[in-house]
Amino acid sequence: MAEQARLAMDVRVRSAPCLLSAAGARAAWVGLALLLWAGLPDEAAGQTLFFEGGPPVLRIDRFVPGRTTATATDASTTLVYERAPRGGRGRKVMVSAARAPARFGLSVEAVDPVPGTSTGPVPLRDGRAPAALLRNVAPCPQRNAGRSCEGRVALRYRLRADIDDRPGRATYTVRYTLLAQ
Amino acid sequence: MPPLRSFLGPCRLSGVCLRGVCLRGVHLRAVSSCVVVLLGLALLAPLGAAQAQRVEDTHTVTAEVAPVSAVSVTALPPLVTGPESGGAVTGTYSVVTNRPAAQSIVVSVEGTPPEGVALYVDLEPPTGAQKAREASLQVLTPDGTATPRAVVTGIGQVSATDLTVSVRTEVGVAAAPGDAAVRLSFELVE
Repeated sequence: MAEQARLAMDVRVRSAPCLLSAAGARAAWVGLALLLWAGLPDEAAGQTLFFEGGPPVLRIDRFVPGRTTATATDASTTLVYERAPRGGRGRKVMVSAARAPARFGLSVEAVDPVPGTSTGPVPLRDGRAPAALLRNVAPCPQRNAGRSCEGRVALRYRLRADIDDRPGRATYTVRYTLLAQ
Repeated sequence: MPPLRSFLGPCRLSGVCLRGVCLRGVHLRAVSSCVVVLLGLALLAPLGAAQAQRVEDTHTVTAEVAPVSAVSVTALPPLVTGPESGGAVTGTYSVVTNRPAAQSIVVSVEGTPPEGVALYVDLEPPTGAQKAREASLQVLTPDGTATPRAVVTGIGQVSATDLTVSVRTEVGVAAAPGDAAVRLSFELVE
């Protein structure tokens, strides 16, 4: 009995280099289990997004006589984004474009996001810094044990061409990023 | 943190060893718990990283502007004329093209024209273009010969409307009285 008492005391004293006592280790195990049950922490996990529908193809094949610009729109793509867990920070979606030609004007707008607030049309130009497309994506209202909590928004692309733009085809690589707000 | 081996040694403080081994007094169970926790976190780290990598995604948007060339003419009013006299009517036309190469508007007569009728056409050029000739161009002779004519040339990328088109006829004695339809074609060509 005395040896057991000494042993217990010894553990408390000597386990310091490991920064975990036996009780601490048990607590860590419990925490780990809770972590796996509730999902990963806000900043590291769950910030996923993906697309449904598309890919968008916009084509202008006529100009109204007397008008020097023509437009085409495509809303065939839905962006699905994962909301923060309950109690986490709100999120936002940023957008940028690469390999965008200068001769056409392409923009994207978040339409009817649930949840979130659209910032309106965002021009997609090569080399331009990512711009906010969607803000105020609220966290999940309730705990979703092991399940994702998603938001959705339609992406409306708008192509604009001037009469003096040279006809042709261009491919844009559009990047969406989900960030904590 | 010193290597794990440096912790191995006899139990000096407690005097109790677990299976004969103490880690400088640290109970093996505590150390193993610590190792397991660290191992678990190490396993979780790549998972978190994998999740973090998915915070962004890209997709491809294809934009295409097709070559557009169109010319359209409003319906011209009926042209009434008699022997040894001529009549003329005016209307409007529009032209749209985004082709960089210069183009022309060619007017021609389609179908079988009536005998004894000559037809002349004149078009107001859009900005940047020119008339092929200052006077109107004959596209149909009284003997029924139809000749396509480039009436306006040098048309660049333009979208214009309400440009004037005028058609004039000359009727000879060979022309038969009555109504005759003449179908004109306006074509934009390079």
